[in-house]
Amino acid sequence: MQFSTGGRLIHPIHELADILQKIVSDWLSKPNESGLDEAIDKTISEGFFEKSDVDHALNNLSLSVQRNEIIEWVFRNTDVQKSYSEIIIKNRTRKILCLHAGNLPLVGLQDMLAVLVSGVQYCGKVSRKDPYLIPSLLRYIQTQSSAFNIKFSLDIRDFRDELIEEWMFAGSEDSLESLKSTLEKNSVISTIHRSLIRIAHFSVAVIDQWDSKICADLIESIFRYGGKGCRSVAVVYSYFKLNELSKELIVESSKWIQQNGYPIRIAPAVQLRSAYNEAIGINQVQVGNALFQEGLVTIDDPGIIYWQPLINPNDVNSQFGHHLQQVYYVPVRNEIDFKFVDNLKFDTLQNAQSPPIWWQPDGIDVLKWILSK
Amino acid sequence: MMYQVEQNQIYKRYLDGLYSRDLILFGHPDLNFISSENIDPDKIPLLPVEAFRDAKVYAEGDKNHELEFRSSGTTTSIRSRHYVAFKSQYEAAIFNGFNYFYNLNDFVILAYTPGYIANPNSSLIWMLNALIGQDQTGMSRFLEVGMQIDEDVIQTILNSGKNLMLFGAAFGLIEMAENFPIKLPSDSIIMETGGMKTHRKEMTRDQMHKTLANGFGLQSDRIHSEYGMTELLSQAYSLGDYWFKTPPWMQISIRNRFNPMESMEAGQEGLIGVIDLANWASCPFILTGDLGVKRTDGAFQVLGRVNKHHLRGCNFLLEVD
Repeated sequence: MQFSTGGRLIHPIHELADILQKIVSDWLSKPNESGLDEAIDKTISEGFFEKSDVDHALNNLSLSVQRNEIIEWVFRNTDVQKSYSEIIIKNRTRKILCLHAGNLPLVGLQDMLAVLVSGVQYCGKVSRKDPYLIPSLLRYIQTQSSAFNIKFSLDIRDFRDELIEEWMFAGSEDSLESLKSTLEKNSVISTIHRSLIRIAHFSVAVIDQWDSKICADLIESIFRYGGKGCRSVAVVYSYFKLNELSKELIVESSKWIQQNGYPIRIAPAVQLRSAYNEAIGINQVQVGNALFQEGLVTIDDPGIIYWQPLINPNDVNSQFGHHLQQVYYVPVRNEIDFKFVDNLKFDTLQNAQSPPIWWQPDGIDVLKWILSK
Repeated sequence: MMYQVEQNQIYKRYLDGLYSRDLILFGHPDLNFISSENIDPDKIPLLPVEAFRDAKVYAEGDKNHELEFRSSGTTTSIRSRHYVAFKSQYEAAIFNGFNYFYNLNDFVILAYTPGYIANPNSSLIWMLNALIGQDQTGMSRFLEVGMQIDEDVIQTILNSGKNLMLFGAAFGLIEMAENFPIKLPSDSIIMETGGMKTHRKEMTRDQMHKTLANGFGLQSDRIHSEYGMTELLSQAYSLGDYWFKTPPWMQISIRNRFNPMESMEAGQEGLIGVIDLANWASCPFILTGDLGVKRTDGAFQVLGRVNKHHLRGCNFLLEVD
């Protein structure tokens, strides 16, 4: 399964943004013709993701891949439009290998868009855990425009002997060395290479105020994608005690599960933890599929949420270091005036699962990384 | 098993919690199956080792414990505590376990344990003291930290006709091998007890054993390993091939890391569960945080600590067809 397109025209950024927006928009709005319907059907029927998560990812894609958003993303990373065209010309000979993780529907799409926008050849190793959605979009792009140079495959062996000099992946640092060595051994990447490695695993929320909207946003930030995304909340630092809010959280989670057609499926590891907490005497509340618990934080199963007393958000960074993706806060009528020392990791709770196109995994703007060479 | 349910309140409450969630029926309609004499070790519910950190895990009621061990606190700031009801039980596990694989009378034990001296409640130090105390010749001892092994000491051991066993945490032995290399008699054994997490370098077990073999002038099969922890009274030993073997009263059950109620087939990776009957007065059914794999003969390998936070977020794995 391997496709590529050949020569490309050079477009000013606003034209390129128009093209990209139109392709994505057509792919979404003409799903039968574009192949998206088939991709969704297979993704759902073969059990890769819940339908509501796929719908959410596609909806966020339609909102974020807009002409002006793309242009703003580029302008955040280049000084003037002219320099962008020069970069595109310079980048024609570059190739970047993107290794997509596949833990969420369309995860890695931002990497793909950044490579395409920068004029570099995209070499995508698509995950077998999300084998239909990204390929469907890539195929559609190939049929609609020759502006982009694309090669993708589900099989890493299709990139053998490519000796790609730049690559990016998101995953665990534990697997990095063996991954690098496998890629080098098969000449997928060159022994001298440049890489972008993202290893953040989870996010936290700081709640210093409470109402029904915050409750809904918190549940969304925890439940969306089964808690498996690095933007999913694993720890809540709250001004309020767990028992004070448990009823509202349970009601809101029931509503969320019903609205999203999610199955009630409490993972065995979560049930075991629940039994363990009972035995030890750790305060806990079962909220839908997730177990909210007090006690020592040991980030683990996506179904276990740690409820902690409120702390200054700036202290969260030092507690979790590079495993932390985002610290969410509620921006309105803050009772505590937090002075954020590192703006990169802060975002509003309502944005948790609907980030803009330029959000920064591990605090790194992928487009900036590509264009900085 | 019955004794644990009756005497260990934490374990009893844990089982009650599992049963109320219909988690451990295993074809048994109620808790009566635990009175059976033929319980499959792979089906015994294992208590997460964190229980020793979060509560007092003790099955001897009001009886005062005779020993109290605490973990080094390198993994979390809160230490695990193991209350040992009977000192004689730990001694029996240490000596019988060691003699199951070696003959203590054949060895002079030199212990090198930098870092552990600061923990007066270290079970490792207690075990080494016990082993050293059994040597009637007085040659067994703790080595001074940051010093080379005296060549005269080695010569004296050689002359005695005994074998040398250099026993210690991996990071300390590595530092000794790197800073004070010395050729030991060829039949010596280096016994590393793990514990690389505080070391300045990341190192695979293979690299570690090569460094130790080179630093002490030994064949790689003379580098042995001990698998033990504060929460266990018994030890498993690997005799130079990375496969740990247990004494008869200790068994390993590899569990599904996503559902520790399920055991894994031989050769499949999972969480290491330990059934250590020497732990009868605390809890003999423990789920560790270590990843491992077991052979059909019961021997097991330790593959490292499980990084639980990797269950969240992107986790790219190169699929191999």
